[in-house]
Parts: sequence; structure tokens; C-alpha cells
Amino acid sequence: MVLLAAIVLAAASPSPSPSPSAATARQTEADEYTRYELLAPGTGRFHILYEVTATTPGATRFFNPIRKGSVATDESVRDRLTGRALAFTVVSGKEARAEGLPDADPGERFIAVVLPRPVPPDGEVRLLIEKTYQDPKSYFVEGDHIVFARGLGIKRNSVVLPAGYELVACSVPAQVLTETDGRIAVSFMNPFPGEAAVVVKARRLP
Amino acid sequence: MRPAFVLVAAAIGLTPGAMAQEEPPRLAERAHQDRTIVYFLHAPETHAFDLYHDYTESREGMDHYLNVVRKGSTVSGPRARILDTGEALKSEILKGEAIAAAHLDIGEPVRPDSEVVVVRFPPVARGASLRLRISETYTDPERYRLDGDELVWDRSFGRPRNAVVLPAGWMLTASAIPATVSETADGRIRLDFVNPRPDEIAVLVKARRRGPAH
Repeated sequence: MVLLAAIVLAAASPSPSPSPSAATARQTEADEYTRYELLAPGTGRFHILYEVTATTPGATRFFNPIRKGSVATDESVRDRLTGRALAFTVVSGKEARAEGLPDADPGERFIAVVLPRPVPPDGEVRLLIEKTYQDPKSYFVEGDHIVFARGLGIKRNSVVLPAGYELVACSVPAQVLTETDGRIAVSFMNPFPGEAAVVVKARRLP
Repeated sequence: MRPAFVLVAAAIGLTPGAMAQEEPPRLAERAHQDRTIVYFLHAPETHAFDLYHDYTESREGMDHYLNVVRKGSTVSGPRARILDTGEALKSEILKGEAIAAAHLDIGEPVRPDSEVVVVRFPPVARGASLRLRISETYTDPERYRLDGDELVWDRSFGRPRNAVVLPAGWMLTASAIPATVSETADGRIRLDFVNPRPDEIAVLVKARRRGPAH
């Protein structure tokens, strides 16, 4: 259950002491990339692998929102420098507001990651956040198609179809690739400031 | 299963020797490539520019990075550090016989005038990765120059993400490739290029000195 307090993974590093200046500095991040792996059609579930780099100098926690309307499970976070799992909690928007996200929606929930080391000056801490969302409004069945329709604010993304499905539509210009396990992936970059209104449709192969 | 991590050859006036045998397949996932290069132009009559180049090294056991300097360009002041930790790394410029003596594979025959920047770092452990920043100064009289009173930057970029920062006091007058434009904190004009396609973009930027309005 995501609302349980501390979820500390076995290999997590101890929490560094927060610095007063970093505690109130606005959170900054860079180099985001999201991979959406569509799970079984009809479940509304998709697995997310989110690469993000924390860049706020001195920061010791990093907040990642859980989108409203999505039910998140199976969260995990890794330090990409070492590959080790990191500790995290799920906190309220109010708490995120107090620690670097002044615009956080108080009604939203956030994954608060304990960084393995304070962000170095002019440096970064790279994270891999994984979670599974259930969001039937974003991923649903329509006739004999499956549809993934979601506004994506991250600028680099890929959507991987379930095994045994062919791509029949994609609303944004995208690379189409075949994974080593045979699944079809669409991958794109959004150079514009707004969200990309992504609609991907696929059909089961006979 | 994720696609294999793919390294893309540089387009910064040099060739990364460590990747010389790993040409970017056209079917590599472009959006996942995370190399970024930012160029800071000096006065155009010097033909010089600083750059920093960020990339993630995730190949198990890899412990060095090579930049083979393209003929006609010169390099100076290489510096490197691990962005994840802030740790400074040793970097050096090797030439000719010194390259052969170091047993470095630069992806091409070593000539007497071959020049390579070598950055060494701790071997990458399995499942781990390093984010590196390599900073250098280049001169390239052919591709960065002053034509009359006009600054001309005429270089191809192979990376998905590149940026060019004009020298202080210069105004942007042309950019052949679409770019987002912004102003740095110190008033310089910055162009950011995003190329989602697996090809090079032939960037042509022109600028002129700011003067009184006509």
C-alpha cells in the first residue's frame, strides 16, 4: 500500500543530513525520459520507468508526483550511479510544498526519494523511478484496438506495446522500433514547450 | 527487455575513439540517447569555442574515454569530472607515438600528427553507470569564423541535443535549423537544437555585433 509510511528497501543508503539551504530551494531536474510499458489489455495498467536527474545543489530528497487519476503500485527507485535501491516514502503535496515544490498541488501525492548523497554543486544525482499505474482513462480497449492516450509533459518518451500487438496509429511523429523480445515500441522527442497529446493505437495480431 | 544502450559518434569536431567502432544504428532509440553538448563561442576572429559534453558511460568495465581530434582542429584545456559526485578526473592530450605507447585503440591508424584527449575514470561496475562531463576548448577556423562583420557557425551536429551560446555582445541574425532561443543570465543568446531523427543537422548560425539601432 503506497500510503504506508516509510518504505525502506534493503540496499538503501543512509539518509544524508539535509542542509538548511537545500531544504527550501526550489527543486530542479533534468534529462527526463519515460518509458511506458503497456501491460495486459483491459487492465488499464502500464509500467513506467522514469529516468530523472536531480540537480538542486545540496538537495537530499527528490519529489516525483503520482498523477491524479492514476493508482500507483510497485514503486521502486534506484541510484543510477551504483544501481542500488533507494529508500522513499509517499508524501502529501503539502509536504512537497514545504521542501522545494512550492507549486505542488496539496491534493496530489508524491514519491519522496531519499537521495544517496547530496546533489554536488554543479552536479547531479541520477535516478530511475519505476512504478505501475492503473489508469483506465489513459489506457483502454476500444473495439478491437487498445488505446494509450495521455498528455505527456516529459520531452523524451517511449511507449511499448504488449506482446502480440501491431501498431496502427500514433498521433505524434515517432520512431517505431522492435524490442529484442519482439514487442513494438514507439519513441519520440517533444521539442515544444507544451505537453504532447499522445494517442497510440494497436491491434492484436491474428 | 530494454533496447541495448547505444553510443553515438560525436559531432563536435572530433571523434570519440572509444566509440569509433560503434556507429549509431539508424534504428537505435534516439529519444533515449542522453548525450548533450553545449558550445560557448569566443570572439569569432579567434575561431575558438569552449564546450562541455555530458554523457553516461554504462558499459561494464569501461574506464576511459577518448576524443580523437579531427584534422584541422586543435584542442586545449581538457577537463573532466563525474557529475554524480563532483569528482575531478585526470585528463590528458596524447599525440602520435604516445598514443601507440599507451596502447589506445583510437579507431583509426595512429599517425604522427594524431591527437587524442584521454579521460580516465574508475571502471564501471555491473549495473552501474557514470555521468561524465568533459570540457575542452577547440579552435576550428573553417567552421567557426568571421565573414566580414558577420559571425558564422557552420557545423553539423549528430547528437539529439546541442546548444550554442553566442559571445557576449552579439545578436542572432540567422539560424538555418529550428532552435529554441533564450537569454543566459549574463545576457548572451543561447540556441537549443533538438533533433529527434537519427541523422545530422547542418547547423548554420549567423550573428552580428550589437550596435545602435538604425
